Formats: sequence, C-alpha cells, structure tokens
Amino acid sequence: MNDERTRFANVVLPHLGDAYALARWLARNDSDAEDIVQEACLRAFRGIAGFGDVNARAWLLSIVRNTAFTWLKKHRDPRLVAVENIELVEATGPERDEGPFAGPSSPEASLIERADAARLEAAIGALPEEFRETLVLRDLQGLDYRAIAEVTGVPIGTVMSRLARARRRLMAQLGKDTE
Amino acid sequence: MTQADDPFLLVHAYCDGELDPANALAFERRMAADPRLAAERDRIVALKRAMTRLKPAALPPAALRSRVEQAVGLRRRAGRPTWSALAASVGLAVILSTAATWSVLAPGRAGLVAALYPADVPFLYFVAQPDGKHIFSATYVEHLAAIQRVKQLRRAARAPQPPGRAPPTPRR
Repeated sequence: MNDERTRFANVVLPHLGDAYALARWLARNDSDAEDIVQEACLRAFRGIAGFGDVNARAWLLSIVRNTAFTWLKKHRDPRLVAVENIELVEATGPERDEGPFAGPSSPEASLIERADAARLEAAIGALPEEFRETLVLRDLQGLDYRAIAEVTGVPIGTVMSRLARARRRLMAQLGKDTE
Repeated sequence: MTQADDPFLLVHAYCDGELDPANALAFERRMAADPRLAAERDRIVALKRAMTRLKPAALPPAALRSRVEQAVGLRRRAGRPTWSALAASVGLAVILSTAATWSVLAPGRAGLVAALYPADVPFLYFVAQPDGKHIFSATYVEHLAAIQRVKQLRRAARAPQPPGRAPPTPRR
C-alpha cells in the first residue's frame, strides 16, 4: 500500500503542473480542470502498478487527456466537438485556404509574432478539440510527435496534419490586422 | 498525394526539429527554392515564438495538490483535524436533534463519550453494509472500493444468483 503511495508521489506529483495546464486547455475552465486532474490522478493511482517507468509525464498526460474527454462528454455535451465531426473535417483533405500561402511573409510573420497573449489564447480556445490538444501538447507542453501520437492514440501522420491545421488556423487569424 | 512528402506538413516537422539532419538539410534547400515554403516557415516560427509567452500562465493551485494527495491517502495526518471536526459536528447534531430522534437513536453514555473523545483511528469515510455493519476507510480510493463492495452485496441480496453463475463483478 505504502509502496504505491510513494510511487505515486514520485511518478505523478512532479507533473501535476503539466497535468493541470493540459486540463485547463482542454476544459477551458479552471474548476472543471481541477476536477479532471483529481479524477485523472485517482485513475493514475489505481493504475500505478501498471506503469512501466518509461515516460511518466506522457503517461500522466494521456490519462488526463482521456479523463478530460470522458468528463467533458458527461458534463457538457454541447460545447464538445464530436470526434466523428473531427474525422469529417480531417477527411476533407488539405485546406490551403486556411492560411494564405502566397504573398509577402515578413509583415504577416511579425504580426503573428506580436499577437498579444489574450488574442492568442482566445484563438487557441476556439480550435476544435483534437486540433487544440495536439497543438497544446506540442507547443505548450513540448512533447515530440511520437509522444503526442502515444498520448492521443493516433498515428504520427495524423499528429502532423492536426498540428499543421491547428497552426494554419491560428496563423490565418493572427496574421490579419485587428479591426 | 501521400502525406509523408507534403512539403506543407514537412515544414512543421522541420520547425519542430523532427527531421533528422540529412532530411533537414535537404528541406532547407527546398525552402530556399520555394518562397511560399520559406514564408510558411517564417509564420510557423513567429507563431511558436508568440506561444512561448503563454507558458507561465497556468500553475496548479496549492489546494489542488492537497486535494489530490488527500484523495490517494498521501495526507492522512493532515486529514486528522477533519475527523475531529466531524466528530464534533456529530456531537453537535446529537445535542440539536429533537426529542423524537433522541429516543430513536437513544445514545448511551458510551456514544456521547465517543463523540467527545474520538478514537485515534485514521478513518475518514464509512459506508453501511446491508447487514447494518459499516466499512471504514482511511482514503477516498479505499472508500470507493468499499462502495463498490456494498453495491455488490446489495445486488446479490436483491436478486439471488441461479446456481453456477458467477456473481456480477463491480465495474472498474
């Protein structure tokens, strides 16, 4: 018993901050994020015997991510983009119109770079769930493609296309001048 | 078109350092020849820079950490005051209850003494079994298991299983 608690303290607790950050991005609400993290930690505790000492952070994040999706489905259907819809969006092939590909880059790139945090945060929040989680895992949590594929349970090719489309949407939005 | 050689996907892998050195070098030559690719790289780099400013935003509240520690039983000691507070509120409830409940509960001297001087036990949770006894738990995890156990007992009591069939297993 005590072994499991010690193990939990060593494996899970150091990554509580990352777990909470991911939950916040997925739930878009602080108190929901806390409930999700607590639930995820309980799941992690129950499953701690099965954890193989590989990548504790990715392991915990995948539990948080799965917990968040079941939790959100249970507690608020309407705001959740159904996975089927995402597959539909993804099946429509490359969307070159999501971001302008031609034209001068430097003024646009500098607009993107100078985008203020609130605007950027709102734009990330408006992304479809699966795109958002991929982007957050890569650019805010710093996971590599292989780890993201493991956490989200999709092939690396899907990680790449989701990431590209998430970024294209953000770049298209932030590259525009604010009205 | 296969995904693997779509340059507009590869440009992200390039910016994320996911290409091995040989492929990265080859891709740099490709970008040098294609201004649209170079422009996309600039936008991606700009976006990644903008996002670094978001990083320190989310710190887990200290309360969350202790919630989690309590839930898995890492904080039993700190949980003690909760137990004595609980005992105190039980005592208060007994004093405030009406004469009717008083007579039903019929607290003996031992009960009052127990409420005033809680035993030094780690239990924070309890759940009643169908036979009127209780399962006490020190942690929330154990408590959840106890609830499952009681549900199982209740189901078994309600619908006796035909011989030869295993009793229903609790979920989880």
